[in-house]
Amino acid sequence: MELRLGRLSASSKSKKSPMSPEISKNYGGVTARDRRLVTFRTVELLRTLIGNTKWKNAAQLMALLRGIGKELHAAGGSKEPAIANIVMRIMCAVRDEVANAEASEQALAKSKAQKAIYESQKAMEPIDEDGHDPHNNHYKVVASSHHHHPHPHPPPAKPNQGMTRNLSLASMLWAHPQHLTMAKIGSANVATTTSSSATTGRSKRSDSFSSVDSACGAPGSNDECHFPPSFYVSRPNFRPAIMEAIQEIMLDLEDLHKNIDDQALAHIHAGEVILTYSRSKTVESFLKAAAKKRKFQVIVCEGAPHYGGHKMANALGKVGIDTTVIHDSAAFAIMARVNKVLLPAHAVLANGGLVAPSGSHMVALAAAHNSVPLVCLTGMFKLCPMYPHEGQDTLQDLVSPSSVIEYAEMSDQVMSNVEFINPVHDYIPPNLINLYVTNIGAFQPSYIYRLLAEYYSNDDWGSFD
Amino acid sequence: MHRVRLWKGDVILTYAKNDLIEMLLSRQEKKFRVILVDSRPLLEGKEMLEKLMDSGIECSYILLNSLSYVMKEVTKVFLGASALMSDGSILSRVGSASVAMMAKSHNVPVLVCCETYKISNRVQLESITWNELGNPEDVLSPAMTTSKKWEEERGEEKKENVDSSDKHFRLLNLLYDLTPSEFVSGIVTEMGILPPTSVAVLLREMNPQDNTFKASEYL
Repeated sequence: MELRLGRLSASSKSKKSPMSPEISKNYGGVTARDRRLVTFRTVELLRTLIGNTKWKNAAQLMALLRGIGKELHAAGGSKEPAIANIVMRIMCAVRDEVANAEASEQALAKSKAQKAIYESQKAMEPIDEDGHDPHNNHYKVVASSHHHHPHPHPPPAKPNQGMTRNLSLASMLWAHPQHLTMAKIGSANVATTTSSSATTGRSKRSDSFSSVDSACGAPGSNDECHFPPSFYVSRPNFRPAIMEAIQEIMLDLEDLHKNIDDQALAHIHAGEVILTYSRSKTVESFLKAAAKKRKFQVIVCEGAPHYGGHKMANALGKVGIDTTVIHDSAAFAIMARVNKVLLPAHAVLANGGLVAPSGSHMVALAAAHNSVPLVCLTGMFKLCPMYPHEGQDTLQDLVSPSSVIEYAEMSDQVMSNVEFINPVHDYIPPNLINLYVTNIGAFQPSYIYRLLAEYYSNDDWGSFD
Repeated sequence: MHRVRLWKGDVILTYAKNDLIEMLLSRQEKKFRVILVDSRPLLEGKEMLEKLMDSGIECSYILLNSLSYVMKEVTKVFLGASALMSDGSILSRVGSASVAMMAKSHNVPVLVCCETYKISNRVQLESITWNELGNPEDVLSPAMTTSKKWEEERGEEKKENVDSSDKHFRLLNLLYDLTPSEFVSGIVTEMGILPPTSVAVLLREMNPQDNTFKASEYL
C-alpha cells in the first residue's frame, strides 16, 4: 500500500530527523548515536501519527503502521535496526489488542448463550423428578446455588480468554495456519467457532510463506493487506487501548537504564576484574551503578579503530572506578586474570546470537577458552526478528578505511592496490554467551526465541524489507 | 621452509611482521592472496605490507578487530614466534594468540614459522607470568600521539581524552602473549614441519647433554 506521507516521508528530510546533534556524535569516523533516544523518538513519532490520523479499525491501523515502518526503515533502518523492531512491536500490540477484544467479546457472547441455554433447560425441567435422579440433584444443587453464581460456569474456558497469548511450545508448533481459519470465520454461530476465531492474529503460528503472500500480496505491490475479519470491526475503546500500549513501550524505553542497573549488584562483586570492550552507555551506566556500592577493577579494550574504549575508560575513571586500558590484541593475554566480561549489543538475533562491536568475537572466544562468564547488557528494543544467515550480513556495515590507514599512505602507487576492510560489527554465536541482562530481566541465549514470540508476531517478520 | 608449498587460490592470513614468513611467501610460485592483520600500537604490519606488495603478492590489510569478518575466507594462517616453549606453546607478538584462536574456531590450520634456536626449555602456563611491558603512552589513542592534523580535527576530544595522571586510570601495554599448543596445527622449522607435541622431543635431540633437570633454569 502506497503511503502518502508528504513532508514526513524519508525523501524530505525536513523537521523529522532522528540524527539531531544532541544525539549523534562523531567518534573516529563512526557516528555513535544514543540509540535508545533514537528509538524513543521513533515511538513518539508513531504515537503522534497514530493518535492524529483517522483510522476506523485495526486493519487500517496495521496498514498505516506497515507503510510508516517501510518509510522509516528505508530512511535509517540499515544502521539502526531498532527502528523496524519498535514498529513491529507496536504492530504486535495491535494484534494482541484485537485478539483480546475478540476473546472478551466471544466470552461475553458465549456466556450469554450458555445462560440462555440454561434458562431454557431449567424451564423444561419436569417437577416430579426430584429425589430420584442424582443428575437432578445436581441440577437442584446448581439451582440452589444459582444466586451465588449469577452465570453458570461455562464449559472449559478457551485458554485464550482474557489473556490472548498462550505461548507454550505446543501452541506455537501445533497452531492452525492462518489461511485455513480465515475460511471458517464466515459462520456467525458462536457455539461452533471455538478454537478458530478466538486464536486468530497472535497466538497462531501462520504458515509463513502462503499466508504472507496471500495476506499481503507481493511486496511493493499496491494490493490491500488482508487480515482476519475481526480486524475490520470498528471498536470504540480500541484507540485508547492502543495508545496505552504505546505508552507502555515508551515507559519501557525511559526506564531502560534504570532497570538494567538494578541488576548490577547481583552480577558485580567486590574485588572482581571486569573486562569490557569499546564504548557503550549501557555498560557504562551498569558499572557506575555497581561502583556505588562495590569496589572492583575494570579493564577496557580500546576498540581500535574506533577507539571507543578510551572515552569509556575516561568516563569510568572520573567516577573513581579503577580502570586500565589495553589494546585489543592483549585481550587474550589478560583474560587469565579476568573474572567477567561485559559486552554491549548492537542487535540480538533470534537464535540468541549477538551482533556486537567488531573485535568482540575475539574477546568472546578468549573468554570461553578461559571459562570466563560473558554477559551481554542490552535493552529489549535491540532484539531483532531475524536469524544469523540474514542478520550477519544485513546488520553488517563496512565503513571508511581511513581509520585503518591514513589517506596519505594509501595514495601511494603500490598501496592503492591493497584492499582495506573495516567492518563495524561482529557476530557472536550463542554458545559463547552466558547471559543476557536486559531491562526485563536476565536470560540465557536459548530463551531469546521465547521473548521474540512475545514481542513480535510471526506475520510481521520481514514486512519492511 | 622450502617444504611449505601453497596452492593456487590459497588465502593466507598472517599477523604483524615476520621476516621468515615474508621470505616464505615471496618464494612461492602459485598465485595466492594474503590478508595481513595488524594491530596497535606497533603497527608492524605496514612494513610487511610494503615488502609483500614489492614481491607482487595480492594483499588485503585489516586491523585485528576485523578478524572475525575475514576469517571465513582464509585457508591457512601463518604466524611467527619469538620463542617456542617446550610444551609446544608459542610466545609471540601480542595478538597472535587471538589470531590462532579465531582460526581454530573456524577450523583453519595454523602454521607457526620458527627457527630451532628459539626453542626454550621453559614452560609457561599463561601470558602474564612472563611478559614485557612496552611504553604505556603507546596505549593512548592516536589523537594524543600522531600528527598535528589529527589534533586539530579532534580539538575538543583531545582535552576530554585521557588524563593519564589520574590515579584511577592506568595504561597497560603488553608486548607478548602465549598461544596454547592446541591452537597450533604445525610448527615449521628448518628441520621440517612438526606437531606442537614434538617440541620437547626436538629439544632433547638437539641438546643431549642437558638431560638433567636444573631448577635454576626455570627462574
